[in-house]
Amino acid sequence: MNFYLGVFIVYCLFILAIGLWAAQRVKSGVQFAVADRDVPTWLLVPNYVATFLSAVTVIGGVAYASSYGWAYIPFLPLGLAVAWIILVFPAKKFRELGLSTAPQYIEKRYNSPGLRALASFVTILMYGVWLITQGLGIGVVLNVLTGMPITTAIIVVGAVYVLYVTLGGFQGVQWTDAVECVLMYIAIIAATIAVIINLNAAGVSIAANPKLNSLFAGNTASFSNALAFVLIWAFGVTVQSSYLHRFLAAKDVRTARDTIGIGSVLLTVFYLMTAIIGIGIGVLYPEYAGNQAFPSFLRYKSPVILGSIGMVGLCAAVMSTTAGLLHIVGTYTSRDIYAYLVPGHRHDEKKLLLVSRTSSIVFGVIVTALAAWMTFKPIPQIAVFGSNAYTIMSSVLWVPIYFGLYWKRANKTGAACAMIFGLIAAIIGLELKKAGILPFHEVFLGVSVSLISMLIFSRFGKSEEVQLGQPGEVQTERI
Amino acid sequence: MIVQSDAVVGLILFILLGIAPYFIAFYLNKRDGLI
Repeated sequence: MNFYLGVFIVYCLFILAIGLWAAQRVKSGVQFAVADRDVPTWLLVPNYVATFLSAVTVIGGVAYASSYGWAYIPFLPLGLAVAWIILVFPAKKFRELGLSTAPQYIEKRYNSPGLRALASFVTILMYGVWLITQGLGIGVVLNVLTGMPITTAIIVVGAVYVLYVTLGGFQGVQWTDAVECVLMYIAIIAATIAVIINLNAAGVSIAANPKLNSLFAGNTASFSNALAFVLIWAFGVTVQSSYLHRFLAAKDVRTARDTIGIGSVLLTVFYLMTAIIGIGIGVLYPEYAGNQAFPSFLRYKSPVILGSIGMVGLCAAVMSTTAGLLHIVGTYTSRDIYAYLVPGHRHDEKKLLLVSRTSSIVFGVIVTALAAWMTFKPIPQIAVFGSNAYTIMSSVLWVPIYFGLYWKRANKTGAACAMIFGLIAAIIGLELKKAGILPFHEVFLGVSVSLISMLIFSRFGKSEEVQLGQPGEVQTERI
Repeated sequence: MIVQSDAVVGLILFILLGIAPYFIAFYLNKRDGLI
């Protein structure tokens, strides 16, 4: 058995043990959904950071930087930073309302359980697709590093995170995330140091490859393209339930805000290191530039110990994100969809826990099986869906959430039209883009139509503002 | 010079925007009397 495989097995058992230990605390639906809304800052920050950092961030980020150098900054991290700034603002309202899911905000703000169910449905669908693409991603990486067949890797990783999410809910997610966050930082720091040492040993500077030194290259070859990508991420990230949900579990408003504040500083450091690793690899080993940059560097240009640390970091990045997404899917299916369809069980926490767990394991098994299936027979629609999920979620959710927070006259009619027309516009936009007709990114069409719909149709509905509770007042409604 | 000046500007901008949420959160918590 090779060393990498041994490390991988030990890692899986370790994470599973933590997840199962944490699962013992889960006795009700609220504990599964938001850990009793009592998570302290020191636990919520790594939870947020680990959920944020996915395989796409690490492998994709290094890959992009290895090909286009510093142009990676405007392509991704700059837009994320704008999103982090925006995310500080809803923290207070979301925490004060004592919500259990992010779409519940839409129900409370617009007095509409139906809109909540719609918001939830879109989120569940998109997260299901992301879970498949993340599973595939780690399968490929583990295949490079351990030699394990891709299908086996997907099933093993899937079995671990599906099990601890199903049993532990947010408790399982937060404790495993805390450990995974530490492992990710150890890995990225070690890899950064290794790249710098290799650069010094080769006697070259990180600026040695002139192709990698400009801010404008690749997808962001011009200032306007760079600005467009900043906006794409700013819209896309700020509607993500996997981040907004962290506010709901926070101990108090201060914790919710501090989580974004402290988390953003940590993430800034992480993205800078990703850029350095990518550009370093691009300078040292230009033949690796692209998707295989990081796995190949770890496997072929690093000592076994560093390679193993890197592999554990990549597994941690994937598992923390997939676990966060699956937890959202399980929780929303139970509290937003099931409770909407069966209103009699809305306040039955034992029942909601059972439905949360059942939906987590059913979704988990389906997405893992589909990811494994796709190693034999790719389903192109899934990749297309996955890459367009941000556009669809931004177009449906951004306006109802942020106009709900800051525009008093936003009402149910406006929100319903914003969501439905935003969705239709996003789908049309994607088709137009495919046909080569749309000259700009489709997210701008979706969000613009959603915004205009909100402004126009809010004039027709009842304009009274739904009372959302007074500042400082913590409502403890259970659903 | 390590990299082109536009890359340096982008880098500094990212660092400033990246740490800004910490100060915004601090300001809002202070304003609301939570600190």
